[in-house]
Amino acid sequence: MSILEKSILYILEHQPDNEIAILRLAKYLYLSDYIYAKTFGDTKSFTGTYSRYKNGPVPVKFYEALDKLYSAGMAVRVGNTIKLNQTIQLNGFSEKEKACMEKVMADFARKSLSKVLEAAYSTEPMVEIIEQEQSIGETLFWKTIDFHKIEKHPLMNLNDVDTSFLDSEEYKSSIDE
Amino acid sequence: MNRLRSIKVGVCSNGPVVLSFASSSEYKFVVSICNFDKFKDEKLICCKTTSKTEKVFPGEFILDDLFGRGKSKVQPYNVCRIHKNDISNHRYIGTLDDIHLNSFEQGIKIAIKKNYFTYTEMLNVLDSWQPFFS
Repeated sequence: MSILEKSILYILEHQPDNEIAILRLAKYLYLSDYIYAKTFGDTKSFTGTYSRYKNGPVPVKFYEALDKLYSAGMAVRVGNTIKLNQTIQLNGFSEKEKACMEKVMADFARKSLSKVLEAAYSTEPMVEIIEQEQSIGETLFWKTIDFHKIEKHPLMNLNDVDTSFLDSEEYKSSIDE
Repeated sequence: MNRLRSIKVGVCSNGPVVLSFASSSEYKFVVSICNFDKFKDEKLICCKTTSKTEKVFPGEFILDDLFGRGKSKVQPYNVCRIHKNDISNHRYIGTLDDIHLNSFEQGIKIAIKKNYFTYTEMLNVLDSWQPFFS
């Protein structure tokens, strides 16, 4: 099972009634990957490549992954939503990946779909695509979302941060126990 | 004897603010470094302060005469967690100026580099400092 399929199941498992609208699911995956790249500086999204669809970024293999989950009886489609049909033990995620998905689910749980879409469109790769589209006057369907455009969070530039003094007796003696 | 002191600094939409309260006779104050609303588990990550102000290490900063009790040194990477119930009655006392804010930011970087936060906490701290989404 691919990480994308597992991520879909993980998100479904954490939804009320184990159900989520397809568009919201696609955006949760993207926003999770976005936070991951922005925080940890890894521009290789953990769920795979994304393309610009009509309503923003969607994993390239999203529908293929859903079809596999339907075929395996793990999920079912009900109208415009996906419902978890079978719970399985999900392994293979890192703690970082889980934290990113959980943050997105927590932050957007009570937000409208339009707010979720706004968030996706506010990301650096999508801002750039929109600017390109406006300059040429057409929508760049299927354009690959370039994660290299994502700027690392300012607090994550840690290369010049020296923490060696924390091990010194002088520092340790400055702490109240 | 040095007594543990702390102040609460909550990060609001306009940056870190000092929320403080002398919670007990022990003069315990805490500096928090995250937006409380971001925490599902209703816990704040907090930075401790100390009255040992002789040496200021990278990321630390001194607040003068906090609540009339003299100088307090804020140690952003000396972290602890407190529950929502622990912060009742705390009051806003001000914002960090640019000098203190820069030190605070440096302190947070040190805490991140030393893995003092869980990944969930770290993401919330980052989001409180500069939101991921506009």
